[in-house]
Amino acid sequence: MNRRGFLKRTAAASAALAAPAVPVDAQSASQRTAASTTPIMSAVAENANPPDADGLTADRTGSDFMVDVLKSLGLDYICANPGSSFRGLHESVINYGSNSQPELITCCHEESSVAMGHGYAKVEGKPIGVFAHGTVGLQHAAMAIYNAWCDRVPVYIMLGNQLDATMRRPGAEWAHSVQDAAAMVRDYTKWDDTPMSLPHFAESAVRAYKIALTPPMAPVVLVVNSEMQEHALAGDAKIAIPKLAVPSAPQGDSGAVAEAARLLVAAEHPVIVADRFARTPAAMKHLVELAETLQAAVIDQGGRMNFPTRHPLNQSQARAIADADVILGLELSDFWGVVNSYRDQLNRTTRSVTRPGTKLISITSGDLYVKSNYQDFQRYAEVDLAIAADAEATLPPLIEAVKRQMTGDRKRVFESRGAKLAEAGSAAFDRSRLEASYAWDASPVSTARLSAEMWAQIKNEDWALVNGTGGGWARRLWNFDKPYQWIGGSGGAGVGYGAPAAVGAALAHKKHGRLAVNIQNDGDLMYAPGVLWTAAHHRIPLLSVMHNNRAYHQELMHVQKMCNRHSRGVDRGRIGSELVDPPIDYAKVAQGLGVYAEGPIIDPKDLGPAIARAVAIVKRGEPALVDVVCQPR
Amino acid sequence: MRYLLILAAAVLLQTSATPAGDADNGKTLFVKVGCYQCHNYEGHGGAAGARIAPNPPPFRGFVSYVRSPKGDMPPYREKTLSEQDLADIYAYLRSRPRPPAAVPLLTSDPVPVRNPAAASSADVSGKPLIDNERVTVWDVTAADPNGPRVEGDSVWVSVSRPGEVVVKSKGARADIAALGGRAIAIDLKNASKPPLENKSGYPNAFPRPGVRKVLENERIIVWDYSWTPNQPTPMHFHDKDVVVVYLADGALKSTTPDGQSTTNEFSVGTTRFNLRDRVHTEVLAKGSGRAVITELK
Repeated sequence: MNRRGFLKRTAAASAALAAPAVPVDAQSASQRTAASTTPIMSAVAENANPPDADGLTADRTGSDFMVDVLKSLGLDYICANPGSSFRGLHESVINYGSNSQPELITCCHEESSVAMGHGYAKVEGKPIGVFAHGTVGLQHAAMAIYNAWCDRVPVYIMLGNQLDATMRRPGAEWAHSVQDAAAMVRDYTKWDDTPMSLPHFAESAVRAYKIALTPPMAPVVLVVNSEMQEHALAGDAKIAIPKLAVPSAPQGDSGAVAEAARLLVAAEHPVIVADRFARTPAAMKHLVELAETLQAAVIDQGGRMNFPTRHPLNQSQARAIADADVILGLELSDFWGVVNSYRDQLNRTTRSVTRPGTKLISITSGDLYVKSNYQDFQRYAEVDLAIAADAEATLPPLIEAVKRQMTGDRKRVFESRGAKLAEAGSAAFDRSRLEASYAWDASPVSTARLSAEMWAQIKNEDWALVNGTGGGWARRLWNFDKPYQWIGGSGGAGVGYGAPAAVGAALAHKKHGRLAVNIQNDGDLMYAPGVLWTAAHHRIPLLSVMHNNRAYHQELMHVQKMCNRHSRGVDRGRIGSELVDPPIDYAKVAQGLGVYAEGPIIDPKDLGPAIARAVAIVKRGEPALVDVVCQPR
Repeated sequence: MRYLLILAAAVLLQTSATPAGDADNGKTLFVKVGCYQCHNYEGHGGAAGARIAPNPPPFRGFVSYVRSPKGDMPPYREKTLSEQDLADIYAYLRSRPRPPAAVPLLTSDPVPVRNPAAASSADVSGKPLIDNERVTVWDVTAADPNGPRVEGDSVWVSVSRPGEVVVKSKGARADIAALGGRAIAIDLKNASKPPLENKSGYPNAFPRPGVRKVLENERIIVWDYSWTPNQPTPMHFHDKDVVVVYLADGALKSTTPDGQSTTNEFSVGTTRFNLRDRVHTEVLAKGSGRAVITELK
């Protein structure tokens, strides 16, 4: 009996004894027996008599069961660059699972796979899967995982790995095997496991999903042994899939919530600051209700689509913090940065930007889970009231508590305050329009003009901006008022997020029939432009308009700062950061990858018609790209 | 007169304190030494730097700031940027064109900053746009997992795909994604009203020239109509209550036979319930005009 036959019979026997959960023990089988009978790919073996056909094929394998588990979790897609360590899973998804829920999405880089999952999850509120090699694939994927970790976004990652050294094919499979695959990303994933049997896989798969979706959300990793994927299973083997119950998000302690309400109701200038606040479409509604109840200023930092941009209480373009006497922070990634300014000169200095005695209230699930090594937790904020809870889940009781504490007198104060804020908000909007008109006819195209031209073409569509802000102008000029119209940025500021996250988000918007719009930075696209091919191949409608400033401009400014500091060549600051000589022709890049593209556009007058043509293509269900040579910022 | 003299003296002082500069050389320097990186090529500012053109601060203050900036801006010493270089850059900044007097793309967007009451209804899920004895109307997107709670026969007017309308019966929901992602759902209540007898001397509102009848059943007639600039509709009588879903951004001027006019602005998705027993004519006052009008029988 060869090893596969042995395992198959073991599984069947165990099923009879201990149904429904059957331990299919990959590692306790007799190595000696297996080693002596496993066919070896060699000239001798090739020329020998045909082996037992039963030992060469199987109707059902471990990876089929794994696909059953993935289907039970409701994973819509698997993003993957193909790899032999998960060939069993790959084949089971496309054949056994009929390539539907999950459907395999062909990616050209593992960083793209994970970033697509990152963008998708922020639109749809649930993760999709990623397959990757446990070694070289994960190494590619690592930065994108870190972005998702910093951004508190669930991505469900499965890594192929061949643990059993005696089973490895000579050559590449050894180079692609690792003792502890997840170790490389353990500092910036929430949980990982290496299941040793199929029942273990089922439990860990469900557990991983549950952990990933419990605030604070984060990526999780399952290392899936190649041998276990390819195990033959008896046709009647029954292995249970545990029931999934995603925990409800934790609400703030009732006493602390009442105290927060007391401070807010008593405040003369309360300011609400929201960052990664909105988890679900209901969040915006809650925040609007809280703000309107208090007639309080709201600053949306843009980590999610938290608050309508043209709501009169939206003071994101005004200077509300300096006047605040109570600041409520909702899922802030950096509360310290909200109330302090930082001066990046030779002598680094900081100063508080709030008035003395300002009370700070924090509601964040970030207080519930933190790790040490990577420092994305930012500087320690001295808050007066820290509520360790999910902010979205805590808003309804906070709204109720505020209403309970409101008096007629306070309500009249609130109304007067609201009128002033509405005036300030309206004035800020008018200022934005005026500022946008400067350099209107300039070439390269101003980022304000870029944003305004895009807005004119999309505003009558059911649109969603999935990446980029055109130097912040989209958020200043466009009317964002739907929960799905914005998903925030990369989280970890790891460049290369934009293009694949946009494609992933567009994939999520596709089934809703929305026009996904991407303001694509040039430097970002050059990390892994192959994701454009993925969009073309899978007919993912996405309008990408390039903010092409022909440089890694953020870094260029940092180097310029060093040049100035040392006064030894301020005219050479661009060396090493510019993307010129030759300039990159992004339209040709996109066309070569099967995407409709125009550009480079230099004259702003050509922009509107080009975007209109691209919108028409996208509305047909395909991606399109317009390359626009822009001002730097 | 005294103020004029002071102003003239101030202008003279500033002019005399500003050395002559070569704007062309200033343009070259502005790029060479990296000013454009934060302030953009036209000095119009952006996310990383303030707007400094075409009206930079007075020259002495300008020089002082460049040498010793208060914020994050990198300092420029004499060694790397002379006073004359700064004068040239200053001349370049002052030579930049002022923005156009009016930019239609920026000013024609009619969506104003809303008042709080409006913000709490149409733009977030959970509350109907209209709820009266005849209809409950919801603004629905495919992203809304729960709503709306349609109870009766309903009309679903696509906002994303102008002209598409679906009718559903007895609490059934339309597929919003199939309607392009956003629709106005009109939930019909059981309050039928026969059409009013038209004694106005004017024709009924519908049909009218250029209108398309989308569908009709025992409870409703749905029309798709576009207003043409400078072409008023015929004066007409509304014999039925209507729900109007606008599919464009603009404004309509409505005038009654006695000459009284009102102008109503609308944007894509704006929905209004208009009572019957009205006589008026409409003309497009701004933007473009298209709507799907549901007459309630």
